Amino acid sequence: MGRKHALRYFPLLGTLFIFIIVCNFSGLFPGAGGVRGFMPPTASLSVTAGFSLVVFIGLQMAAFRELGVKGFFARFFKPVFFMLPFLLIDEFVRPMSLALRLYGNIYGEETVTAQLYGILPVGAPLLMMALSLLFCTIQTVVFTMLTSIYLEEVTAHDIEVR
Amino acid sequence: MDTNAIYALAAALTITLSTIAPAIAQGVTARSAMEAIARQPEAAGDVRSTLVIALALMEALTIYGLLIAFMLLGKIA
Repeated sequence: MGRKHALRYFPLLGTLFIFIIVCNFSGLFPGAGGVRGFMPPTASLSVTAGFSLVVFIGLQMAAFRELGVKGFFARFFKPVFFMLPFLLIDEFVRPMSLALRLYGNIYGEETVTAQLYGILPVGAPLLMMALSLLFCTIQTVVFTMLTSIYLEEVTAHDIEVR
Repeated sequence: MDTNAIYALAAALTITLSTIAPAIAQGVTARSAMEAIARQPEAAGDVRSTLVIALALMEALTIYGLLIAFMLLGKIA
């Protein structure tokens, strides 16, 4: 993304990373998940939708700042003219997919752990929790990396038609 | 068949079908990534990051199916 841009967007990406990874891991404390107020925050769609709303607004602002008003609207027409509907849909669907991906993964892990707890209280959740450690990290990394890739795409000046 | 049975069947079918295609696609992606690393070991870091992102993008499709299955399970009386 280039060093100047990386420094500029680092607060957003760093905050997202730390916040999401702590939220994801908070489901692994003993006793969490069963108690209503102690589930991991990212296991609720509202929270992940909040993250993706922040990312969406950040993307629009980054495009606006980088490309100016004219470039901001012109980037939908850039490579080929009739791609407009797809690019518009893309613009909204990508943050939604970020939210759904994170929510689905964490909520699924929680539910599977709870079900395994119903089957075999001591041993079975351990396997799922070990897997959960790995996946929580991966999901965080993916969220942050996708955000940075979208940022780079949105602030690209010249989209060459190869 | 009463409604609960249809909800249960639909939930089971949803998650089953939505795992097939992403799993195959992820296998193909992982194979290409491994071939790329074998051909050029110094590009391993780049390939690995791209592989993780591609796998997560495909995983999301399975997760969408899982979410629908959960919603259907919630509808069972």
